[in-house]
Amino acid sequence: MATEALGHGHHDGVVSTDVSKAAKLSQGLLGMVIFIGSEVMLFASLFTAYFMARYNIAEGNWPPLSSDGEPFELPKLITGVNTVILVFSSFTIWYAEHSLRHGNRKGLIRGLGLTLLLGATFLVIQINEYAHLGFTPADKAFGSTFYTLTGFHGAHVFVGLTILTFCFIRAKVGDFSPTKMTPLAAGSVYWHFVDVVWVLLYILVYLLS
Amino acid sequence: MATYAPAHHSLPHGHGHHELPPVSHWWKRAGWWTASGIIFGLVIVAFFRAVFEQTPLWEAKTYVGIAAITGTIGFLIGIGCFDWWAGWMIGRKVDYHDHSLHGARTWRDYLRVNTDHKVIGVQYLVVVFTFLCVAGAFAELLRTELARPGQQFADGETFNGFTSAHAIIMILLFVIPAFAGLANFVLPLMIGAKDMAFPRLNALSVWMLPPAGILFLIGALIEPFSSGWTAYPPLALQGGIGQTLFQVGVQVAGASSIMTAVNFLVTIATMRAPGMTVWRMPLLVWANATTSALVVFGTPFIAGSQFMTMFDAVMGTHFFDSANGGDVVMYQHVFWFYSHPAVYIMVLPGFGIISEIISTFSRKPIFGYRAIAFSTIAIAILGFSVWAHHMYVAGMAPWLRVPMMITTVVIAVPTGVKVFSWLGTLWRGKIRLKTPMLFALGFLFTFVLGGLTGVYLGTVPVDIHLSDTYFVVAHLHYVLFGGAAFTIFAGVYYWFPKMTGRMYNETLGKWHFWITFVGMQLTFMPQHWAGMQGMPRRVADYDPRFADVNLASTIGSFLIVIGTVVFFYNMITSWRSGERAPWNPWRAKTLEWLVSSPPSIFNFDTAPQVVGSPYNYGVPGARHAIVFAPEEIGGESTEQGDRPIVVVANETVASTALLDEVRERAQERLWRFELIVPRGATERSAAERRLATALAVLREAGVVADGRVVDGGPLDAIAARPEDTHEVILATYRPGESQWMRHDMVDRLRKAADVPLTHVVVTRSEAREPLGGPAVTHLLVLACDAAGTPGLTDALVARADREPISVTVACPLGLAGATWSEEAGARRAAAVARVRAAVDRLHDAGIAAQGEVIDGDAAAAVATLIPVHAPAEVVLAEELAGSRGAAQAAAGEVAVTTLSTTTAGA
Amino acid sequence: MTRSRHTLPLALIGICVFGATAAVLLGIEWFPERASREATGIDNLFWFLTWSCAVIFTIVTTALVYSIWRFRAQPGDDSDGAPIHGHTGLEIVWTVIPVLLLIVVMVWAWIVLEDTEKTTADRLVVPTVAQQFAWTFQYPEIGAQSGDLRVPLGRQVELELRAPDTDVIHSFFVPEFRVKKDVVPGIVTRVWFTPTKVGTYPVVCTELCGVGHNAMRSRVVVMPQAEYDQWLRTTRAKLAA
Repeated sequence: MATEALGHGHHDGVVSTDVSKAAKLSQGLLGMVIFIGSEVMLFASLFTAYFMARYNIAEGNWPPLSSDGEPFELPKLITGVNTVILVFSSFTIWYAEHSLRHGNRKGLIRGLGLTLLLGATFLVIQINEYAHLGFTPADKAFGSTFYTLTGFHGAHVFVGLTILTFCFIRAKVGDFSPTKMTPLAAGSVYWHFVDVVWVLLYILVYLLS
Repeated sequence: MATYAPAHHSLPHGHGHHELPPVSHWWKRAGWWTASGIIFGLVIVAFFRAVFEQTPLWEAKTYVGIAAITGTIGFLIGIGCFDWWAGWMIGRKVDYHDHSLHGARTWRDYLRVNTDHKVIGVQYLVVVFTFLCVAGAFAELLRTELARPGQQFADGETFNGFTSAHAIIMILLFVIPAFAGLANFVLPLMIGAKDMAFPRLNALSVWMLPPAGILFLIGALIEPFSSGWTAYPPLALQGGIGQTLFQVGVQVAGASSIMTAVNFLVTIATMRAPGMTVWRMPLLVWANATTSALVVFGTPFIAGSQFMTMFDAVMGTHFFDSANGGDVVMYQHVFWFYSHPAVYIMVLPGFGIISEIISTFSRKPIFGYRAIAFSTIAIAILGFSVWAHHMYVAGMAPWLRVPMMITTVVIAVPTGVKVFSWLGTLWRGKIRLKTPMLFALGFLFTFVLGGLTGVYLGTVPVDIHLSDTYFVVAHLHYVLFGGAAFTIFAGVYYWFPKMTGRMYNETLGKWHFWITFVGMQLTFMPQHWAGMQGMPRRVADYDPRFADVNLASTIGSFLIVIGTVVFFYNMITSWRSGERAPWNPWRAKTLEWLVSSPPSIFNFDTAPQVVGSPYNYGVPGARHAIVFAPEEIGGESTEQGDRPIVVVANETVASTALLDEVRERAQERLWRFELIVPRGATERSAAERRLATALAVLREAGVVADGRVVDGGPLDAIAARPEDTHEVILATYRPGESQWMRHDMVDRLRKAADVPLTHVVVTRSEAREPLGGPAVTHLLVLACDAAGTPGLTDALVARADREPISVTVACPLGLAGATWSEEAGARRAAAVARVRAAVDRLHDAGIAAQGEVIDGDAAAAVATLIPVHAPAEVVLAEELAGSRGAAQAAAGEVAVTTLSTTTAGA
Repeated sequence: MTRSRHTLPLALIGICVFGATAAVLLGIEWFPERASREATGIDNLFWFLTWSCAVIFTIVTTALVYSIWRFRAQPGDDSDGAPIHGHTGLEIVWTVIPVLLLIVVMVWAWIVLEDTEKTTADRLVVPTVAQQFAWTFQYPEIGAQSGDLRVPLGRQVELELRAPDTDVIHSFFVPEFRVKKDVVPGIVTRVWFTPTKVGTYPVVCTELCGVGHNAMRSRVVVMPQAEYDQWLRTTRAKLAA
């Protein structure tokens, strides 16, 4: 019974973690999932802005003309490649987690390292894309929504990379075990979320424009 | 009352606790880090502006915005919110159960980062009441300006700054975090947890509030943000650095409230004490769970709206620039998608507080517990579908108005359910008008008015006239002052003894209430009229015909100030030198009152056991929870099985379903069980046999149980219950089968018993199934012609009177030759009838039995049935005595005996 | 038995509360003068809502006051109240009755809304520009514009509300007409009213629009058709001169 599980808590002063064991639910992971719910709504608010700006423009005129009088053009192909890179990083982080679950620490480090590398590549390509797009955030509402959506996503990739970097450091110093891996699991869920958002963004903003 | 406070206020040993540096150390560090953060922000902006050749190099809004963010982060680092995480991040060895920052031993411990939810709760309240003074000061400034028509001392811009600062500080730094603070202190105690799920995140949340408030304050003082708390663009884009600070402040306060909400949700989901099922949670916990969901899913929208305005203002984007494809009305959609649910974020926790207080001070169970819980959820869900009722005249798509009106008006229904339920709780209670109760009743009166005017504003044609007039101001203050401020005051008075260990001054509390109540009505009641007449809101000057009502409002608002001064005087003096508070001054039932005032450092030594509803006032012997503690300090860990649960069942008493329920409850190790069998029309001896069987099974499982058979029906059984009965478990057949159910016995018993009643439903076939386990000897009885005779039954009954038995009656047909012949079929049918008769007889005699018909002979039957039924003994009827040898051979280990079936007593 | 004990005092308190409420509702002039066709429907709906709310308010306040008075614990009485956990019948009643009432309100509101926005073919269209902090009403037929809105009696008026792209949101409100509409940069919004009374009424900006918000006022002058025509002629003549 849970009473006993809590009972030992007061001897060693364990406050929360033993309770979570009793509840058979990782609090860290649950917290991360709820927080991701919040993040989803943040992107929903930005997508609202995007779609309202798009809806206000007559059918067939999307993307609109930029202030130079040219229609906005987005590099679908190179971003497509970038999308594949990011999606692939979801598999590498899964591989890292999977390795840890089966006691393969080398796989864990390798998987994490590869994920970091892929994520960083994505960011570099994205920044390079910004430099060559030919329009700025101040170029009509199209530019504003485009940069805000992709920029917020980029910031989330950066946060995800930061979390995973710390996980990488912890893994290097020998932290994490199949039973104690909440930060890694939470970071991994966050990373999957970042990927899913990107796929949606790529489809809605790049492909369906 | 089971209450316990560990005497030792020391921290637990075993994880290298070291002396903390003095408070001044943290604050010096915070100062340096804040300054460095600000400088870092300024340098970064200058650097990037230079690199990207932005001209001019100095552009105030950008610098201030970024410096505000980096300064806030610097402050949080400096004060020590990130110390533990920083160690984790760089790979240092960390103690996951580090409690070095937990708990307060002196008042100084309240001035540093602390991970104890109780300390954090108090920190929240001190911070929010400080900002109440700030926001209140702005309110008084604007009311003074409005006391007479014409310009007194503030021009339009200054005045608009007052209203904006008043509103945003009240909302984001008083109402929302005040509820977070109260819940922070109370909620973990209420659910029997030792702390919140993420104590360090909790500390971070509270420490983000002062920077947010200070950003608003600086903004309001140096270059007022004056586009209202709603900050509609394009007006907001015309604002200066004050508006930028406003945008950053909203982000900081919003992030704090999201983190708190995540913390509450995880705490409530994973840290409830054993026995705290969702339907035993106090309504405050329900309210906070729902509110937290609203915060988590709503707040990102206001964050999004402020990001977009900020980008428009400092980066030159065109979200709201209609000349460049922007959409002005879009802001309002995004903004209200959060800010309408925010209205419920600001009242639902208050509803939770009110439910606690009204039940406690009426000394009655809350009326319609589930209705209140469900209505909370309904309000939250509907709350997300009504945002555009703020925009009926805003130029949005016209078709959206009627659907929004429908959802808006529908919200009145669950809100009404709550109000009526509270009235139902008062009815026939024993009402005590202590200060918390006065505020609760004041809330009820005021909130009903505010709720009703809400229906006006939800109805499109009426709203077209009333929108953006003083009627709206009156409405929102009736719901926010009445719905939020009154409930916050109620909650602060209610839990003051628990938080501080001292009683507040009751007389001053009552003065506070009456002055505030009268002042509040005087301030806002006349504004309804001004609004109806067409006085717009947010104006520094007005038509002279509104002079009288505005003067009344201003006088009322000064009354509120006087009341608030009384409140602060009461709080401060009572905290310093009030009378010592007992553990449970209100004789309430919820868990926070079962521990000392203030609670010990980790709340509970051992998780308490929750055993019933939190509101069982007036129910004899009912209790919500038991707190375990060593006996010598008055705890109840030695209490085992000393309170009876009465089990009422007749034919179902020896059924697995019922006994499982009893066994499960027995695991709480708090009860003894009294099985009372009202025999009704059944044989007394049969009832006794069933009872004996049930008792044997329970005792074998280590359950302390006793029982007796009484004449009459279930009501007689209830009448025969022990005086201190805790609960009644009633077992019946299913509705269609049950005689008792037909007579509505469940409800009648519930009324008669006056204690909680658990109803266990048992099907007829389940009730007849033989019970397994060593306590009941299971007999495999082989009989053919004798099967239906009274002789066999009598013999088995005689056996049953010696020990509890259950029976499988099997008839071996001993068919030789074709088993499909007509003759074989006829014999089989006759055997089935006989076996069925035997089973019925046994059941009537109180012996659980089942039947089998086997084509083979006795030996074959034994071989087939032993693996299926695992009998303890095989019994051969006299007629089959001849095959005993063969049967024994087939039975192996299991003993085979014979039974005389001719000694029938008639 | 219980019922009869409570009925009389409840009725007395109820009568007092309702009486006081009714006195407040009837004794005060709540609305400004009614000067448009649209106002009638809105006012009727308003009063239906108000009297319904008065009844609900009376019920709640009566129960509240009576409970406090009747069920207050005597000093020294430590006993508990009756352990009543709920009453399904009552709970259904106080869910269903408000639902029915609100359905009436919603249907009524929908009808009124449709009615107030019904346009006639001969309506007078007045392009209107709002900017910080002034109203400009245009009369294209005579090529004039005016700071005051002048309209003929009895003819439906449609305002085409515009704000410059560089400006902020304003809101057009005439309390006597019970009409209001935001003026939003980038889009054209419309508001309709049919004046039914000759007179001068205030035009109020009700959307916070900056430092001069409280001073952003104008007038609407309703004049008989003949007088209106006269005004058109003299204005045109003045412009020509």
